Amino acid sequence: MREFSKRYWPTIPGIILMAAFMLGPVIWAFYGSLTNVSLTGPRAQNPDFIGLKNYSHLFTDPAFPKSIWLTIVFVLLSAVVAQNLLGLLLAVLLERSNKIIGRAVSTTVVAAWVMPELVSAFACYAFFSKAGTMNQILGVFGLHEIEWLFAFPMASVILANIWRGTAYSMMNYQAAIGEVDHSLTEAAVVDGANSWQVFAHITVPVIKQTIVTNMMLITLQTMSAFTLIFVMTAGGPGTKSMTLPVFAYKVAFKYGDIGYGCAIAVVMLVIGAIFGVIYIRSMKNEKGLSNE
Amino acid sequence: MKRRNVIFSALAVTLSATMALAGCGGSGSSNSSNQTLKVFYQKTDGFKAFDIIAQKQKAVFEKAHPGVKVELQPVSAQESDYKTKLSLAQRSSETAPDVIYQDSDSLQADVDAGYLLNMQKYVDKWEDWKQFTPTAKNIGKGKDGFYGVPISTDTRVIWYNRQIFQKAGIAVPWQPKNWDEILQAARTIKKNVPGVIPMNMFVGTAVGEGTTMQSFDELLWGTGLGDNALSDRKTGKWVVGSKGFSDSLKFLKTIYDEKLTPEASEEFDPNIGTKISTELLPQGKMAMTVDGSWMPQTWVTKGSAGEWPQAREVMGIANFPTQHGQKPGFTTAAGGWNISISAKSQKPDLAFDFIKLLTSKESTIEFLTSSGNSTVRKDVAEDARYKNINPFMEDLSTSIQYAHFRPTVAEYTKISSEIQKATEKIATGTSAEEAAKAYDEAVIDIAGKDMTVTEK
Repeated sequence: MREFSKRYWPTIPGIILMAAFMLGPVIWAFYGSLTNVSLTGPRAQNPDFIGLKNYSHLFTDPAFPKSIWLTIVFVLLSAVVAQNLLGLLLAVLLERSNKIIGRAVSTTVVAAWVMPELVSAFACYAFFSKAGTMNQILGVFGLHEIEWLFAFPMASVILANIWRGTAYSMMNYQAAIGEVDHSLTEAAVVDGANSWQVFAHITVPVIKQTIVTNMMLITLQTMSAFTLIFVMTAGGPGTKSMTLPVFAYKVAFKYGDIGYGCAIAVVMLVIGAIFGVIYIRSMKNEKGLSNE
Repeated sequence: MKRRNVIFSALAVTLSATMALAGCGGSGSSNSSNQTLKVFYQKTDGFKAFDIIAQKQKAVFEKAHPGVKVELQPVSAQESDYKTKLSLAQRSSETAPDVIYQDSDSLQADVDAGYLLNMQKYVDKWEDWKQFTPTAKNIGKGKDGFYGVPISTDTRVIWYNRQIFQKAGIAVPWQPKNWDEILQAARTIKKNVPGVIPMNMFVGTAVGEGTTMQSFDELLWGTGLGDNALSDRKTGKWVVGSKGFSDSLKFLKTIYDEKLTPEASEEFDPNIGTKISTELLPQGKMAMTVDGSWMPQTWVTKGSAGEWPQAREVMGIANFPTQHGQKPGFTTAAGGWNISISAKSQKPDLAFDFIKLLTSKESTIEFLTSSGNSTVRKDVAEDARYKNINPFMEDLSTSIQYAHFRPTVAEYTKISSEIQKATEKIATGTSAEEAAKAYDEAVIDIAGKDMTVTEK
């Protein structure tokens, strides 16, 4: 036990901070989800305990499965597929590219990522909006302007999220590929492997751990993406781009039903926790140990 | 060792999962010295009226009350976001302001929430209170007394561009007698004056309460049930399944389906109202819109984005007709804004003193000169400066006799959101029946089955 305390003493301030600022709201949200607390009205200060009624309401609310579906589409297409593959591709190409070009490309990609989320969301809004850059470019080619954010809200926010988030995967993979032992790749080349074979049979197996980690992290980040979608479409038109975080926000703050909003947040928490467990499991399976 | 792993893994899972949880709970804090009076109000590019009088009276008040500091907390947000921000601030006594400027529609809900202070004992002793008309006093009235001092009221009318109407071959002055005549005019304009958007009536949740008040209410209260179309005024029961409700939705569906309005995508932009008053109408790109009596203010204000000296010659006003022209012939939804005291305020006496300054005759005139709303004070109504605020004031004054007020009960705000959702569905292609059915279900859910009544 003494050894334990010695090793974990330095983490205690961090744990306390996390508990106060993350665990606290989580517990509050869980409690709130069991009540009918609202933003105003008689239930604002004296909510009733209503058990699981918010949850039973949630599972019969037609907006809920739709919102889950939109969240899945958003996470799968923008993060798991596009950010992940594009990030990997960029990392591989940058490894082999000319230094100057490489710097220019990675700076451009990272620029989208280092911007505050609100700023990049506004940039995307300006790009896709009716009088925006996209339509002006199309106009040069004599094409009609399209209301992207209205006609293709999901496609717009997915593209925006790819643009914004790819840098994160790229940097993860750059770091991992940089660690790949050159003697391995050289040996493969000597044995006559082409670039694809080196990539598929040497690089990918070696950085497998990073791939799993990266996928989990971007899944969690993307699932909770709020600002980007809220600024661009506010979940609309109607509910056509209303992912779970936007759904929870609208219910809690726009319609004032905080208890119900908390129930949605708790469901997101559970989904997040499932991914978290898978993530930690996979770490263990890979290396046979976790944080030791 | 294994156990510790489990603990730390569990912690890691919880923390990483927390990333998925955005913004529930939490509370801010601010220094609340007893000598500070916090004043919470809305201030946007289009609405600076309250800021103007607040700044001015702050100086007066601080001079009269040495040692007291008035802290102005203007919130730059559109209406529904302002409301959210206000409710959140009121939840905690650390962030609750002392003096609150707010729309009367959420008054009763906030009273029930325990956010507002009953001001009965203050107004009873207040000399000026007799200057407020009985109708006006209702704006600040809750179930058991006064919770707000009204500063303004407003009505809604059809604003139309005479030049476009003439170009389309419609005689002016124009005054439709029923819904059909509005449609006729819009269709004629669409046919005869291409490139002009014939009309606008708000839909959707982006405009928030604006959709309910500036658009849907004008329709609903002009249907068969009249003043009882939204809720029965005697029993307080909410009306479901009514023909009037689905007829109102059908009217909106017609104008959207026939493309007599801006694109639905523009309608879902929270700034559509500003765009219409500052761009589409002055530039002659829209023939008519249903909107509040404050509209001319942006046109007469020098240096504002929508300054339009010719507005008086170009724009006409028509009252909104009842569905088939039945009595009393016209309708308008009337609202108003109050200044209230937070129930959590430590210095309600000071707060009321400040409210007295804000709502005095001179201050009211100054407020209305900037906002363009209608007055609630008799002495202001008789003042020449008020009558000359803008050249539309006299025409507008006829609409108040057709006024319908929103029910002042806590459920109102939620039910109003349901109306907005129903109109949003209409504009995105859902049928009126389906949208009305979803509304009925939501109302029963909110108010409870025994607080609803099915009308034909």
